[in-house]
Amino acid sequence: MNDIAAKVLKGDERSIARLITLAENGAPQAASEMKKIHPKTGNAYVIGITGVMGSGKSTLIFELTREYRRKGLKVGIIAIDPTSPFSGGALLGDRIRMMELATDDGVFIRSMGTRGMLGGLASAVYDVVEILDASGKDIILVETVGVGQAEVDVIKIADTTLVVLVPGLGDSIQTIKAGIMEIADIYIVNKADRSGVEQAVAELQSLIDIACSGKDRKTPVLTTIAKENKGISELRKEIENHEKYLKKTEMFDIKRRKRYESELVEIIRKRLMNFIFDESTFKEKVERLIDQISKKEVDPYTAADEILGKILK
Amino acid sequence: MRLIVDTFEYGFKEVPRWNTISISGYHIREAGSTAIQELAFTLGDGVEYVKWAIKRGLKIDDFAPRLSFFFNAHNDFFEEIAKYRAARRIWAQEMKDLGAKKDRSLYMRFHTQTAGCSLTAQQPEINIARVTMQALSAVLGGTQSLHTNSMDEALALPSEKAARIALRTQQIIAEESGVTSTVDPLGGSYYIEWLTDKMVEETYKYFDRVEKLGGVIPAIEKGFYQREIAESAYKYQREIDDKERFMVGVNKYTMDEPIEIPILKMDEEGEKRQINRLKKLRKDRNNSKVNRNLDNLRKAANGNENLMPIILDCVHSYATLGETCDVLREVFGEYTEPAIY
Amino acid sequence: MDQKIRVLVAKPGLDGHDRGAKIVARALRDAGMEVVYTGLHQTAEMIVETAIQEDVNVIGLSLLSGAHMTLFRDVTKLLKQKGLDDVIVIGGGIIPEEDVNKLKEAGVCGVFGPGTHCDDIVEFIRKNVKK
Repeated sequence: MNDIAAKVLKGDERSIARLITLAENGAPQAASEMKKIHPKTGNAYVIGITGVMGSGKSTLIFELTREYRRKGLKVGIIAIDPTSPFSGGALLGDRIRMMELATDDGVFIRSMGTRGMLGGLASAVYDVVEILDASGKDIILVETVGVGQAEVDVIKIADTTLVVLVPGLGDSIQTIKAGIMEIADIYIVNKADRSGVEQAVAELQSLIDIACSGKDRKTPVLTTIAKENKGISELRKEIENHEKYLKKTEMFDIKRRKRYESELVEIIRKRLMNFIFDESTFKEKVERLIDQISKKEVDPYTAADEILGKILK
Repeated sequence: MRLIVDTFEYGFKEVPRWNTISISGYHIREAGSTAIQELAFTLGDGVEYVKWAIKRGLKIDDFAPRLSFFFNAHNDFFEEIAKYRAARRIWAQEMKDLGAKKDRSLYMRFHTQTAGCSLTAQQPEINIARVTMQALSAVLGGTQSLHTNSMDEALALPSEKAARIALRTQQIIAEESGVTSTVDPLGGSYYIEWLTDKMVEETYKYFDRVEKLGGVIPAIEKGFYQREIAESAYKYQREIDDKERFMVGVNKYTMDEPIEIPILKMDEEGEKRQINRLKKLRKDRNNSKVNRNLDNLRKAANGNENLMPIILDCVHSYATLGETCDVLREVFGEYTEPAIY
Repeated sequence: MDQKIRVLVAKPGLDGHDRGAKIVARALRDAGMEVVYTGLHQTAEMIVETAIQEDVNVIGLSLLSGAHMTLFRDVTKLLKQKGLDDVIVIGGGIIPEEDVNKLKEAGVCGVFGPGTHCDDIVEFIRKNVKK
């Protein structure tokens, strides 16, 4: 257990999986192991993929992974599904479309529940990206929950964000509100053998023309038929173009910096919340304050002042 | 869809007495759907097949008479009878709407199998009573052919004795009960007629929902059918777990008694035997002919011609099922359904 | 600490009857567990590899086609080979009473056949998980 970080750096799968579990669970030894591996991170290129259910995200990831494998690159895949707010459990079914990759030892797939996080990511996803990075993966694909307009946190972690759409899924592009449409570095219209693909592409292009006027990069729109492996190598090339674009300007470093900022915020937030709500000595005081708020003896702001005051002292 | 329309086309031309397809709802019901869903999804599938065939240019009265259906016979006696009657009525109407003129195009001919999922591992002999009632509902509902399950359904593959009892069950209905002497004997019953009307109505509501989703195939790809089925399956299980629905021997009238019926033993040598047969076949056949036929199949699959004659060439030259389907898998890809619970 | 029980639900071999597996997956989810569902047509290698990457506590195998003696034992053997002794294996489907003991000897610690109450599976897992 003590040399788990060393084994992760060597690429040992069981250790990678174990450390991910420790990080996800917020186990005490996770932090010390993560400290050891952080210096070895930064090499992997992170690609985020989001899109509504039925858009073929998982199949696209499967084919894109095979494309990267053909180029000799190692790939980590993080597939995120929503955790039930009622039971705390989750059905993690994205692997179904990727099971052929299960026995390829250049691919590591991990399924995660959001565990209460809004925004489409899981709280520990930053850790998982670092772990996969440190273990030697060249590319990390993060498939996020993309059910609605609020699931845009993927941009906090990805170097390139792909938004996957499907023609004729009932929503015309216009009805998909801002938020999910603003985060794309590359748009993909998948299942492009369906009718309505030209219309979908045209609608996207006009939105992009408006949004990108005056900017030095126009968001590209690609069409793919993932299940037939069509358009996939073009996608890989377009991702490479974006990477080159980012690295040519300062954008790459700025993005990476934003990612570390988000990661730091998340670690602090979790620690604070654990301290306030889980640490037994403090927890009693907090519970008492909540009772007082319910009885209108105290208002929530005063209660917060008291709690924060105690922490910051 | 292409393969299915190929079958219709080939059947009409070359094998006119062959029922080209068994449009199934049995498996949908076994997966946990309700009776209405079984109706709506099966008939919806059937209509879709017909539409695609018409689109290719086939004449509906040419192929429709050889379409056949496959339904489940579940526990609710009267609901099942009404279901079969509703199916026939809906199918005749749909076929008329699609332009069928011949009487035989409107007939819904169906095979029924009693519900495997309703049989229990506990006190397996009582499954004979279940199967009898289910078989009777299918007969009173007008099924053309019937499969009765054996009492060891939930324990193993059927033993010879259990399969024989299942057969005798049908034979008793056929030879001794007299119910087969009257067509639609429950027609006119106030309850059955009301239930039939209601089931027709509910089915059309599902048809509308599927239309709104863009049609059968978009609905499948969006996971609509799978979700409906998974929901019904989960609800059914919860009802049993919560004792809102009873299964005799499982959550009511339970007993702790050992299984006393013969259970089939799997033949451990069977695998070896089959593998050896396959090896011998592959040695004895004309392999260059096989490969040529498979190549032709590949080329044809990439084109537009009817694949049936070429598949038959492969079969005649003793290409295996696996080899033939692998070629098709190569060309068409393999569908993986999304995870829907 | 936010520890969840992680369960892999898999259907080995060619058997396509997934109604039970899906219901169990959902019941476990409703009991607060994280369930990785791999779908149909899994080999022992795919199942064990997935169990490693997903760091599961439990592997649940579902089989109704009669091949359980071969396929379940393939999985337990491979698990032992890879040294995954903190993962428990449970099974369900159509498994005759007389095979249950042989399966238990091979490392399957619980068999849940037809008529099982979902709560029984949940409780068994909660009581028997290691690590």
